[in-house]
Amino acid sequence: MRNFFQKSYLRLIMQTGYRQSILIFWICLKLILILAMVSKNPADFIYGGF
Amino acid sequence: MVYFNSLTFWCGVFFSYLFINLKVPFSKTFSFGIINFICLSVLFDIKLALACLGCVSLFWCFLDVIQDQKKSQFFFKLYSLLCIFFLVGLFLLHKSYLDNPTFFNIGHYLFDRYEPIQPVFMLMSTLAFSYIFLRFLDLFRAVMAGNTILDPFSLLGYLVPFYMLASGPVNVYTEYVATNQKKSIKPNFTQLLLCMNLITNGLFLKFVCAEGLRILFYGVNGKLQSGDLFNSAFILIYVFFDFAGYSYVAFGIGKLLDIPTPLNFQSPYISKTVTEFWTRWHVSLGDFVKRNIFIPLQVTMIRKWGITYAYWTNLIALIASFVFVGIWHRLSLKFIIWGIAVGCIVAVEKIIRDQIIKRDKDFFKKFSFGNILGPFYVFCVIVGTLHFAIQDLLGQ
Repeated sequence: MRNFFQKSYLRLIMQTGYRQSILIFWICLKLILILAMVSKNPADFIYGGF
Repeated sequence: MVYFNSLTFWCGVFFSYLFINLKVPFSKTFSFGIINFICLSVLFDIKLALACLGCVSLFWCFLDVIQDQKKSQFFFKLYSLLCIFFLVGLFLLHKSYLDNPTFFNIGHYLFDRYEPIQPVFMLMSTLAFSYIFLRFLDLFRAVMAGNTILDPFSLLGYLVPFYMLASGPVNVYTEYVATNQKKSIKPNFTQLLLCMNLITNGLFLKFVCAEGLRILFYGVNGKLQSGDLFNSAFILIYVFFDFAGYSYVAFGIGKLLDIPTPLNFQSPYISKTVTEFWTRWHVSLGDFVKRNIFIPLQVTMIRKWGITYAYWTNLIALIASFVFVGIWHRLSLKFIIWGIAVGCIVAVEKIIRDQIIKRDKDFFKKFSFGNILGPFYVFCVIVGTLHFAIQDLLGQ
């Protein structure tokens, strides 16, 4: 399984180039943080009411 | 209300992306209108989506009738005035129901006494009618100026876009119409990644920065509080992350679907003057006010009083625009005073700036200390003015 992910990620780097792979990594990092926060606190839209 | 932490919403975005990029013999706005209608039905209710489509179709018919009356100036003006009075009346009713003001409580009065109109109030609250009202006005003015009226589905996509319901931004009708003439970009992986980056930036600002700060200061279930200046300053920072986050998500989705969606925030806290701050904070509302209130008001006053009073009309139009912004935020006496106060500050800044530039053209280029002092002054003024009306903003 681990090998599969490594291979597919490498393929992605080769296909999309260095910069795009960094962007994918950055998006994934943000998504992990966002999901962690959302699971901890299903936030309301507090500044609403328009 | 649409929540960006619901899976249904993101499924809606994904299917919209697929549908928009299908090769269909319709215009772009019509395709978006169709998928927007489906998304509204899934996210809210089919009845609500049909009610919206019905209202938009009625407005579409009315706009068509007004355009036909262009030859007869009397009826053209009469119908236009009727339309504006109806829209403003509806907006004031909605605000009076939502904000419960002490001096104009007609919304609650009607809601409590007449049961059949209760669903109308509920519908307007669910869809954040304040934003829709601004879009209606923009559409009305654009059509009066001779722009084409799109079909009801396209208009529904412009007036009630499912991804802009939570916090705008206020999109421009002429830009929306222009998408049909624009050559569409072929979907590619890089574009998808860039849009994903924008969307995750927005979600990061909202769920990690804004909510993280709130949890840090008030606890997981803690709510924002009004009271001292610290709370007001905190709310201003929180609202920036929260609102900018939502706006970035809408901006990213707009880019993904190739539907014009303005960027609402352009680093407002680096502004050196309050005037500059209002060109960077909630940009789409600022542009709307400039386009539809400030310029028409100033032009009308100059026509009436003559060009010799141009400077004073400018200042009056400025203050009137900020009063509108105040009422748009909350229909309360405090927010009307807030609007007058901010309008006066911006007007005074303009007078001082004009006087200084008259004497020394390069004064602001030489005044390098302003880079540090400016943002501090702006933050103090914004916190100070907001502190006065913060209870009304939070509904406490």
